[in-house]
Order: sequence, then structure tokens, then C-alpha cells
Amino acid sequence: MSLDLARIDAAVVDHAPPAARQRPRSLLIASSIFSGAAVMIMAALTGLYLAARHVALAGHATWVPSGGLPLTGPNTALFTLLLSIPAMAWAQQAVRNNDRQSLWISYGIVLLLGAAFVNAESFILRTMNLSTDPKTPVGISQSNVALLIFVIVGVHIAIIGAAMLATLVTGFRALGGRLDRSDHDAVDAVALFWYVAVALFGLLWYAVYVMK
Amino acid sequence: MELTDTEHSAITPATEILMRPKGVGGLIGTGDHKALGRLLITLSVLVIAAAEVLGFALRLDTIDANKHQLLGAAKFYSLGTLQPTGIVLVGLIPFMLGLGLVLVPLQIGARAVAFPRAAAAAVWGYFIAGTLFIVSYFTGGGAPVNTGGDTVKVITRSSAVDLWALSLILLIASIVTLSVVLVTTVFTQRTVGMSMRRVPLFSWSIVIAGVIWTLSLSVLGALMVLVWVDHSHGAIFSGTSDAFSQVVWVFNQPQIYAIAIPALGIVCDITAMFTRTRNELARPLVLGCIAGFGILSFGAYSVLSYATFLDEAVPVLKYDNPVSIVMAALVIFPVLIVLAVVADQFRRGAKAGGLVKAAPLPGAVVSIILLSLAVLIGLFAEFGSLGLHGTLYDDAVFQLVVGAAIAAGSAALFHWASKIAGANALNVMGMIAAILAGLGSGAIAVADMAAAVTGSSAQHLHGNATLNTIAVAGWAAVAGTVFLTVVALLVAVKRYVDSDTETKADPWGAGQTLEWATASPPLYENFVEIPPVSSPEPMLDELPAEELVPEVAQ
Repeated sequence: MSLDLARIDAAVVDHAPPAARQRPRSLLIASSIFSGAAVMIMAALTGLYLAARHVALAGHATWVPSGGLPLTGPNTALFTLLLSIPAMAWAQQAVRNNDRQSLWISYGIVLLLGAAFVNAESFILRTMNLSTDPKTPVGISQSNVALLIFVIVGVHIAIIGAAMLATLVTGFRALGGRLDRSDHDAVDAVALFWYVAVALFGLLWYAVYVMK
Repeated sequence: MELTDTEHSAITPATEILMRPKGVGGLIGTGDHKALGRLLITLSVLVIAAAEVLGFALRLDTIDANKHQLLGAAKFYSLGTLQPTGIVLVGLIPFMLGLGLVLVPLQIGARAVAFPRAAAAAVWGYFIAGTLFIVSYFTGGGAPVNTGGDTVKVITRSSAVDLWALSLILLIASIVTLSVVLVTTVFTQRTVGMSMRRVPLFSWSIVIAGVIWTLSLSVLGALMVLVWVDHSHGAIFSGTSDAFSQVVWVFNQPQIYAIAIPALGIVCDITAMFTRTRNELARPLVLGCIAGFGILSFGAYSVLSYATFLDEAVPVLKYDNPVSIVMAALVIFPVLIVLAVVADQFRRGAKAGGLVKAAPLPGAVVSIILLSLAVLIGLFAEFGSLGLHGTLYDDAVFQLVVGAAIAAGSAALFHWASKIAGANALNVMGMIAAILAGLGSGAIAVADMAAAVTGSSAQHLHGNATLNTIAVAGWAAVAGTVFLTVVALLVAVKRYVDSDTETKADPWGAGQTLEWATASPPLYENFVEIPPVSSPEPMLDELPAEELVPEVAQ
């Protein structure tokens, strides 16, 4: 009995999975540009903060009084965000494996950590006391340092909020069966924005909370 | 194949495109890039026209130096902040984006923009933000401004100042979103064969402008958030009482050059077409020059020089800064190289007998000349020892760049009138508009520079009466350019509506890029069939060799 190799080859080709379709990486490119905008926003505000700090310290004025901005809260916020990085990477790997269950779980973790971060940041803003007299706290209406920190932290929370919203929308798209190994542009785009947002907190953590 | 090139299988067939929108409801809900682009062009041209009239009125008000003839001091200072902000942020940048929204997908052979709903949201966001911005000025608000020694009370309502800051934030968000849409469209929606090196120069300039606007205006957005929060919490920063100074860096060099980035693309596309020349050798050079001009016009780093939040004590980035001087010197080169390429195209076109005398050509020439003058005289403003900064010299640079952008915008509207309005506009009106733009901007710049150099303008808004008269005539001429262009477009629309015959796909008969392959006005899905692209000028490849002039056929 002779084998019809041509027919076998044809059958193999017929049953082989189709080649992954090359899709335009629209979301990834858009996410890169929005990430650039977020970097510029934070760089501008942090630059102004550092310049104002430089002016104050050069004039021997007090910038952030001792104990006015303890590092415990910011460290917690930083580690919360750092923990979200492997969760986001897990989501990227999950979608490449067509593993939707892992994708949803990882997105759930990212959103949970994001919410915890927002909570930590709002706690820091509430308990921040930049008055030299601990009994008479100053608000953003009395202290330019407090106002600058409020704006920088507030804008970063807004960036994290936008990243969480994008994660949520992408999660819903995955729930609807839209994302798989051949179409994971949205997951990568959200991940890129998230990583940038985390890196920006690293900048904020060092410039505002550590250097004070 | 490049990473972002489109494969054959990824091209969306025309049948999958959504239905054509109809009526007002259709316009409000549409994601059609052409409808959105036309809306944006219409709104922004109205703003530019109003801003030019306002500029004329402001200059007329101080025609007799140090005396307000028309408006009074309070209105003069208030409207003095409205005019530049209006013409740049609400007028010219959205106008260029509107042009891009109509033309970029057509030029790159795409059936739609990358994110149609985001584009629609941005256009309507612009409409709302622009309206709120203007309303803020007419309800006792606007930008708080330093009036120098004048004790006049400019702002009467604090909440209207908050509205001004918020409207600018929304406006910047709309500009950034539109920029992202257009840049992404060029990167991901190009047709087969349209590599990045073959992208038409206007589309390329929109990519560069989009990136630069996104990165630099984000910084302005951040400043506006700070101004808004500070102002609504008691204004503890001294800078908030002069919040307009946080915006001024956008109107000074190098950032002001950014509004003219698309002008370079418009000029190059128009001159190549009407001189019937290909730019095979110079093309990479021009692509590089547009990119270089964009990078060198990035001025967000100069924010700290203007940050009155910091009470004049910041020792960084003041004038006479070596970095600024080097950047101001370098920015001259890309513009002059483009000017040289344009001149060479004229030489080659004239030599080969391929020169087409058409309305857009004078506008393009005027635009590149004005821009060249702007970067040349702009260099001197960087030298603090000359004492030109803070005088009308800054205004001269500003007016030349704005003039270049207006001339290019007017030329673009005449050039692509058949794609935007359905039929070509009157040639003679385009030529008059170009001459008015050149003479007008030149007159304002000469008057301002003379006032600055002769020392008769220690303050930004005062000058010599004779020179002010010349400047007023210049303002009238530039306003005339805008009004002539508007009238010409209306005539084109009327021609299209009244005409029984269809406008040709390429009414100039000289088209090089893909927008000339589709009907005028373009079909809802842009193309019935997208022509093959094997060069930067695919329409020339379609022509039989005997129809090409010798230079083009090479």
C-alpha cells in the first residue's frame, strides 16, 4: 500500500490553525502617545515643584517641616503599585495563551491594587500636615507646598484612574470574547499605560515624598 | 515591510463601513472623518476671522501710542489675552487638525481614521471648550493679566477665571485626542505599499505636529490645572494673579513655531504638484527637515522661564541661555532647506514647462518666505543683551509665524477645495489672499521690529503712532486674507450645489497623491478602489509616460 503524500500534506494544511492575522497596532500606538502626554504632565508639575523647592531652600525657608509628610504611607502606595506590575504582566501572558479566566483574575487584582493605591494616596493627602505647629494644620489655601503636592498627587491619581478605567473596559471586552492570542493589542496598550503610570509614581515618590 | 505597514488581508472592504449619516442628527452622531473635519475647519476659520478682527481693533485702539481710542483700558488688556490665545489654541491648531482630519485618510489610502468615535468626541469637545472659553471672557473673566503700571481692574468675576482655565484644559484634551487619532491613523491605516517614506508630506507634517502638540500642550494643561486649583482656593501663588504669563510661552519662540509645522507639509505638497516635479532625491531631506523643525519647535522646556509662580527667583533658562540660542540657530536650517527645495522645484518645473499657475501656489510661496523670516529674526530675540525680549519684537516673530500659518491654511483650502467644499474656488481670490497675507504680516512685523529696535516700545502693547498705523493696515490685510478665503470657499460650495455635472476627481489635472484618486467631494467610504502605491506619487505612476513632462517622467 502506497501513501498518497500529496493528499496527506493537503489535509495537514487544511487542519492547521490559521496564521495569526497581522493587525494594525492602533491601540498600542495611541497608548504610547497618551503615555507620552502623561509623562510630560507629571514632568512639568514635578519640575515646577522642584524649582519652587529650590527657590525656598535657597532663601533658607522651610519647605516641608520635619514629620509633616511621613514616608510610611507613600512606601505602602509604592509597593501596592509595584505589586500590580506582575499582575498586569500575567494578564498579557494570559491573553497570549487564550486563557481568559487568568486574564479576568489578573485584571481583578490590578483593579484591586489600583483602588488600594488611590485609597493610600487620599489617606496621605488627608493626614499631610505641613504646618510648623502640629496643632494648627494648614490646608491648600494657606500653603503653596501643600497646594503643589495636592495638585501633583491629584493629577497622578487621575492618571491611575484613567488606567483603571481602560483596564476595566478591556476586561469587559475580554468578557465579551473579543480578545485572544491573535488580537491582544488592547491588553498590551493598557499594560503600557499602566507601567508608565507606575513609573510616574516612582518619580513622584522620590521627588515629593523622599526628597520632600 | 515596516512594522506598521498594512497587509492586504487587513484592508477593510468598503461594504463593512457604517451607513452615511444624514441630517443634523447624522452630523452630531457621525464618525465620518470628512464631516468632522469640515465641521472643525468651519468653526476654527470663524474663530480665526474673529481673532483677526479683534487684533485689528486692538491695534486701532492704541494707534495713538499710550492712549486707548476704541476699547478702553480694561477691555484692551482683557481682549489682549483673548486674541493670541484664540488665534493659536482655538483657531490655527484646530484648523490644521481639521485639515488633517479631512485629508490624512485620503492621502494615505485609508477608509476611515483610526478611532472615529474618539475623533467625534474631540471635535465636539473642542466646540464646547471653545464656546466656554469665549463665554469666560464676556462674563467678566478670562485670563488674569499683569497690566504693568496700569491700575485698571480687568477681571470682575472670579468664577469666570475658573471657567477660562477649565475651558483651556478641555480644549487641550480635545487637541491631544485629535492629534493621537491622526498620528495613529498614519501609523496604522496606510494602504498597501504606502510605507512611511512614501507618506505624503502634509500627512507626515501632521504626524510630527501631532506628536509635538501632544507633548508640549500637555504641559500647558498641567499648568492650567495648577492655576485652576490655586485660583479656586484663594490664589496663594503670586503667579495666579498673572495667570496669562503661564500661557505666554506658547506664543513665544520656539513653541510658536509648532503651529507652522503642518504649513511646511502644505507648502511642499502644493509646490511639488504645481511645478509637476517629483522629489526623489530631496524627499528624505524634506521629511527630515519637517521632523527637525518640529523637534526644535518644542518649547515646553521654557515654561520655567515664565513661571511667575516662582517669584522671579528661578535662576534657570532665562534669555541668553546657550541651549535656547543654539536651538534658535538650528531651527533656521530646516526652514531654509525647505525653501531651497521649493525654489529648486520652481526652477525644474519652469525649465520643463510644467509650471501650473494656480491659486494655491502663491500662498505656499508666501508661507515659506514668512516662516523663513520668522526663524531668522527670531534668533536675535534670544540674545538678552539686545534687549528685544518683552518688546514688540516678540510680537513681530509671532505675527510672521501666524501669517505663515494663515497663508498656508488659505493655500490649503484653495488647493483641496474640491475635497472639502466639492468644487474648486476662484483662482484670482486665492492669489489676492496670498498677496494680502504676505504684505499684511510683513507690515505688522516691520512696524513691530522698528518700534522695538528704535526703543519706542518698552511695553509690549505700546509703540510709535506712525508705526502703529502701518501695523493697523497690516492687520486689515491679514484679516482680508481670512475673509477672502471664507468667501472663496462659500463660492466653491455654491458652485458645487448649483453644478449639474460632477467635479472631477482631480480638477487641477496635476494630482500626485491618493486624495486625487477619489471623487470630489470624496465618497463616504473614501475610495471605490484604492490605486496601487509603488512610489510617493502614486497618481503619477498611473499616467502614461507621454503625459508627463520630462522631469516628472524621470
